Amino acid sequence: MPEPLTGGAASPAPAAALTRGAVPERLHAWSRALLVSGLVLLAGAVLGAAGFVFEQSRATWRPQVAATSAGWRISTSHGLQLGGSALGADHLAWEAGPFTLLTDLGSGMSRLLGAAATAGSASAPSMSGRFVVWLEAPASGSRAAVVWAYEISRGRRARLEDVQGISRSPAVSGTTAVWETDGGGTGTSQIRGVDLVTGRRFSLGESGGASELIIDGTLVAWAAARPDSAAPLVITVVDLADGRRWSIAPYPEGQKGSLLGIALAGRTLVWARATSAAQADQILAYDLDRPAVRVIAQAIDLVPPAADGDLVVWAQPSAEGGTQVIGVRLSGGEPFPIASVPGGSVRSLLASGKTVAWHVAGAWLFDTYVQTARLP
Amino acid sequence: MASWTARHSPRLGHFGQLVLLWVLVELWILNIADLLLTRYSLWLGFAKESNGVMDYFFRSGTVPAVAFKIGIVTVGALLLWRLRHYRTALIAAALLTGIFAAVVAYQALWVLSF
Repeated sequence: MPEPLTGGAASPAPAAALTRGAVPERLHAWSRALLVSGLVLLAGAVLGAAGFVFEQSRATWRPQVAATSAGWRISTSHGLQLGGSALGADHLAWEAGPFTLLTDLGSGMSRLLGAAATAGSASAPSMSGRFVVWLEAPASGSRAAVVWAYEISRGRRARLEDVQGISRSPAVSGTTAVWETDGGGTGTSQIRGVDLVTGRRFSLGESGGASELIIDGTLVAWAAARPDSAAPLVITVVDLADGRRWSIAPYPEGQKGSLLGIALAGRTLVWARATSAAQADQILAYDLDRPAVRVIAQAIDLVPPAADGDLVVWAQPSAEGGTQVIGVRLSGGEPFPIASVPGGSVRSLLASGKTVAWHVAGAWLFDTYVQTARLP
Repeated sequence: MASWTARHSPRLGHFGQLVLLWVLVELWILNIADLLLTRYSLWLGFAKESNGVMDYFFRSGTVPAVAFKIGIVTVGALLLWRLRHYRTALIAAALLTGIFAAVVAYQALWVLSF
């Protein structure tokens, strides 16, 4: 019986054709499976991105930033009250309720540096060209708080120390940060510090309960009450480079007075005071290297000064009814006008390099803003 | 678990198994991405690990956290692959991968926004 034509040598041919076709088909199945699994991935990613966008759109911290002819005008929204602020190089750091923010004065973009708990609060920040430091308390009026530092270039936040007791806003200059703490539960306030680059920590001893703490270069200054409540406050200045200390009375003993604010302009201590002896508030400058005091401004209702380098700025009521922001170079020259604020009252001033900022409070509780200007 | 799945879950064909394989590979890669983004966010100081178990391992050190996180997802993925003949395994893997993708996308955007 002859063999069927389909058997023998003829049969391998169709099998070979099947094998050649199966490889692309299998590859096709793998690709289709990858595509389907990719759709699962994409659906999840879209969901996550939508959640992020929704959360950001509901964020209450985002400020309203508007360009002005000389700088920026920054105000809060969602009923947040603008608190203390700080200037450093090309950035403005500021506090609003539990939030600490940083605004780039080049682009006007803001970023969130920290958010205390819902019931918490943040202190006024302090900043140098490289770091921002501030205090975050978990609850309003809490006696426990955390000192934070943020490195602008690296975008990194670091916890410096947990502090107890009522602590003042920390301060930073260059890479050195200082803050006040209760000295390990002893009940005595101390000024402590750290080099944010090397991590070297130091203590400047008891502060006596500082009402203000500032640092510029190697000089740290704070104002504190004396044990005798009738005596005027004392401003202590410490040079971190050599440990030298100065104790300065902001107004004479026996006079009723108040210290309105302190600032450091290089190696010159600047403060504003109101005394019973003088009809107007005064701003005084004390050169620590050539001990000599001079009055650099005198006016009714002076706004405490800010300083950087040899520039000192302050604000005082103008004859037109508004407020005038004025500056003077300690190296010489006459006071010069910087800006005129027609409405509202100037609460505080900031200065860094050629940038000056003023914090204005309007007639309404939340009508507050910070305006910046660049000096020529 | 296999017997329960065998009784209740429809069978998964060859193509479904291929999809499951890719989904599990994606899950494994997303797990690594989640680990790296979480570690980076913790390093930045902006984030707090809200998963108590992972928080424990992160406090113990990076190596235990990495070992635990990669280990548990690898074991989970292998278990799902053992159940590859059942559609339930694919649904579970797809859900897990979708959730992981959402978390990783959210984290990545959060990190980029700082």
